[in-house]
Amino acid sequence: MGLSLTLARRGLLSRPGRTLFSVLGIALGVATVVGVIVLDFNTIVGLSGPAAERTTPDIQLRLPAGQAERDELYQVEGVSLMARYFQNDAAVRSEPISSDAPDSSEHREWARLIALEAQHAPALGVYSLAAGRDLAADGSREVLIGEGVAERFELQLGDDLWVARPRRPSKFVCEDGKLVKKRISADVPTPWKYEVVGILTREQIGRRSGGMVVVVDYANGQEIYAGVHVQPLIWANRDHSVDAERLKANIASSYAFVVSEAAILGQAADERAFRTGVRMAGLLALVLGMYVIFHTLSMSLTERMKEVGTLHTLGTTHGQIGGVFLLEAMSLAGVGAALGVLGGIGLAKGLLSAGITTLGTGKHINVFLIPWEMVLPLAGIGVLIALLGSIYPLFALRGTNTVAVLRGDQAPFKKRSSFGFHLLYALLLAVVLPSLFFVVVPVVGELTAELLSTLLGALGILSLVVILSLIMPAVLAGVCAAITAPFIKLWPLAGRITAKAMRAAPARIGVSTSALALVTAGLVGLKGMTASLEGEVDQWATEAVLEKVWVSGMPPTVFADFAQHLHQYKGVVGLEKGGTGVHTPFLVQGVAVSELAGYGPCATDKSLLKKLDEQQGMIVSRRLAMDLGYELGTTVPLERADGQLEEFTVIAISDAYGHYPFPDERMYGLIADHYLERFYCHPTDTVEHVAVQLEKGSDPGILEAAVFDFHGGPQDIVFRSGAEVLQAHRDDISRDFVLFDVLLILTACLAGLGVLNGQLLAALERSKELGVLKALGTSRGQLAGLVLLEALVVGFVGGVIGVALGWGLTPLVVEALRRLVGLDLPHVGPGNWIWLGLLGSVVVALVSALYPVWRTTRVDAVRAVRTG
Amino acid sequence: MVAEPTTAIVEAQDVYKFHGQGPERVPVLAKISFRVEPGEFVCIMGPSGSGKSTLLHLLSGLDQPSAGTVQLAGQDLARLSERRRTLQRREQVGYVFQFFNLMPNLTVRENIALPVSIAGHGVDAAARTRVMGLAERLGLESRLDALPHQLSGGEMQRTSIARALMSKQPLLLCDEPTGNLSQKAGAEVMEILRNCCDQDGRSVLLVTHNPRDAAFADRVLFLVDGELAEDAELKGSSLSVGDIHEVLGKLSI
Repeated sequence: MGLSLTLARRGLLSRPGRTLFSVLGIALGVATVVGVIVLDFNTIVGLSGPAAERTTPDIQLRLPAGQAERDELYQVEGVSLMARYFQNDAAVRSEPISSDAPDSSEHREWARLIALEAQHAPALGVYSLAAGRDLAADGSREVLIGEGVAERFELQLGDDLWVARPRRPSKFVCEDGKLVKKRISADVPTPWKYEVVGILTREQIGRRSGGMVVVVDYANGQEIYAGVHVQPLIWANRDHSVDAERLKANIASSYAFVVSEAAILGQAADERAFRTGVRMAGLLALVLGMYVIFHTLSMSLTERMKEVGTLHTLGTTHGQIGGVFLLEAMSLAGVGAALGVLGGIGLAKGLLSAGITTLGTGKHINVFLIPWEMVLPLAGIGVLIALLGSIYPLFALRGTNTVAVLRGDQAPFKKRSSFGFHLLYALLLAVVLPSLFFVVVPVVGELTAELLSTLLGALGILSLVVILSLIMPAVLAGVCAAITAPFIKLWPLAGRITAKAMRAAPARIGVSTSALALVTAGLVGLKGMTASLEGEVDQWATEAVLEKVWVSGMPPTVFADFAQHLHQYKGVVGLEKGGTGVHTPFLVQGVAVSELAGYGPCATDKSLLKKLDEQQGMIVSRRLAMDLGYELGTTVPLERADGQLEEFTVIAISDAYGHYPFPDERMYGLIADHYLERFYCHPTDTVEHVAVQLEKGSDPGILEAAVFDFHGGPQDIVFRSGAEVLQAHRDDISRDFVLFDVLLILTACLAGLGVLNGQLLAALERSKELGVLKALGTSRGQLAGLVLLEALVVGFVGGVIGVALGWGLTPLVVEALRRLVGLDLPHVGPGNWIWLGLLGSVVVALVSALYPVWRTTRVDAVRAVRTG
Repeated sequence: MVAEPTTAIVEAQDVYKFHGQGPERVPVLAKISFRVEPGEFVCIMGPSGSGKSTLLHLLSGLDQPSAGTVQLAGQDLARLSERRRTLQRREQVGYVFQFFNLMPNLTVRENIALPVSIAGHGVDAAARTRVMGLAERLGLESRLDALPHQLSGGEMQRTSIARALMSKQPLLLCDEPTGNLSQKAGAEVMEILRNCCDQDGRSVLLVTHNPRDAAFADRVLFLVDGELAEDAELKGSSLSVGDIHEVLGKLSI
């Protein structure tokens, strides 16, 4: 062990450049993937808020009156663990409450009563206990109290608490658009005695009303509220194996529901696609890093064959020699992985500080946690793969012909075993590593057939490039050498020698071109996808925003008068009311039906106006229809302000109406404004924001003049054109994809490291040849030309392959996005990024060659010609 | 009274070595039979390409003969596994190479002590004393902390010899040890090797094409076209360069 340790240590220290770049290769690969995982973890945790603050579970459902029993909900895919509940105020005291006492605070203390089914309550996760136990499921009169109640009445476990509902007061109810005061006849609520069996922590529902909260079993709650109608609600948890869209589509057709933001954060189809893409980019970086280190370790064997031969001649066994390489690999891998973990954490922190998250840019996260249960296994996978890469030298040593090595033969290895191991390592990188990755880092959302086929397709491309370069490097080397041939006329020495050198070192050329090809393909594919996303936005904008102008900041304005005034001006086709909407559970906006007649689907089908106005028709946006599976004729139940459900029918699916830059929502429904007034008591006569549809080619200046004319001056009124809104959306796409640009740069650095390492090793391998050239009168510039010409050719070939792959991949990626996200993406293509990708590949290769150039020009000619 | 036959330190019996297969196979060595006794200094001479280095590889177990047997310290190498052959070589043979083959990242001190590490032992006080002794014997005491690329050719070869002497193997195999040295440095190296034989009782088997080197040997064998020239063996403690040239002339080498 001492010999192996000494030789390994000296081997690493005597080649500081190569050691450093090898460690960097592993570190960069591990850092990228760790950074991605830590970033995504903190994005979700940071945006969904701490669990302690969540006061409701994932889903709240309202059962339509007279419809489905609760048990039927179990049939709904995506819903799990349901409990019936309701909540209201209740009077509480530690001694009997007099029934005659009024509801004033002098005579009664008030707490928030939550009644939920005791047998399911603990699993819902809406509270935690500081002391005691959960409610019994047998209906016993037991209560859980908040800390506020415990402190107020100095209650402990086992004490009694009286609970009564308040008297029924007069209340205002929204009826037919009017708030009507309902008087309730005198009633005498019955106080009930409960035993305190548990005290809630000041988290989740225990935080409500400052801790003045009591929890009883649902049946007991109904007893407390006997004689009073209480709307039964359902709390449910989400089954995470079902996508958010499928969940919402499953329940949207029959139930009114609210899904908490935290439950579906990052789970929308486009968010899942984005997050999955980011994770794939991290995986690509890890694969590339391991790819580079494998070749570094295997090429280091070639460089040290004479040393190996001497040791074997002196009586060192293959095992002892193998120990040297294993120790070197362990040192490189261990240090690289440790630096990678630290670097990845730093990368995530830096990105978060800059507002870059896996759910877009411009979001600010105040937490920073490290998911060690994913980070450490990922680093471990990196170390393991790097160590497995060191097996090749150990493996190859068995086939070493020591005599040939002592004679100085170049290729002492048995070709068949080398091919076999390269194939094995290719499968390791392309199949085993990704599989392990997806065990440690689960897929975002449901593993649907579409997602699986997309992932397999991406991995297939990765496999193709890795496998080909590992088992058929001669093809790539041959292509590179052929491309070098024309340079012979221009640079005779560099052209001849470089071509021969590339043919003689197919593994090195294969790794370099493949690494550059992968990165270039990633760049071109990404830009092609971005172009398609921008194309989708353009298509949407053509219908939704381009001929519109948004007017905001007006003083409260009577809409009818304003509309009448504007219609006097040429080019004004219609107006849409802004700020007239409710969330139930998606944004529902009110429109003045008559204003829609001049554009959109209502212009071509006038019957829609009547359906909208008189038959509770609803126009839904395309994104909403896709998300919830709405079609023409679908019935959409909406919860009214009074809790009743009202059904609307989808009469059109269009983006022509309803979009507002604030809140910039693309998922919404439109109903006639009088329904909004009637069912939600939402006033719609007066507006402060409107959207004005103009005729194509109209001068927006005329609109501005008209508005100023109406309001007697500019005041604080702001105009925003459709072109500005479109540009803002395009800018959003560019900003959101900044993260991918960062990941691509890191991966490009990795590819560059692969080229650099390969050329450094080549300089060492060929030091005698280069020394002889120098002795024969070759200038430093000519020597530099050898390296740079190889870099140029490798960069070019890698770039061409990458561009072809990326260009060919883009339609597949776009198609995959269509299936995964449901976006109708057009096929646009990467455009100028084809040339930029090719240029980038060449630049990366040339920059990576600078240090090897420096080393090559400093080879010792005297030593080279003297030694054997 | 007839002396009892001693066990040769290395013995070759009807050894053949071919390169290639079938009708294209080329004989490198043919019907090689000889032995080296303990404490004997044997030199094998021959022109370039006569198979001298190949013979050394066979005798050290680095390569296998196509036919015949090679015994090293009484062990038939063909009967041993590759690992056992390596261990046998470690225990019985010190190797001196033409191009020195020092570990480029180890100092002179560490290169000399290398066999101790190969044997799995730590470099203890005894080993350090031995290293110093060998360094003084070979004139390297002031260069112990130098790296190989800082040494002259002669110093590198003396380091290589010191390394070969470190573990007191009974046999030294030397493959053209003076091939890359000046005449003076070469003479110094040959004196050292002669001393190893005389003072330490080691056997030395040296291959060379240099008559001056061969003159140091007790016995010189001549390898011509892969075969030992049977009638050309020279023996005696006072071989001269002239004697050797004469034989070379007779053999038209």
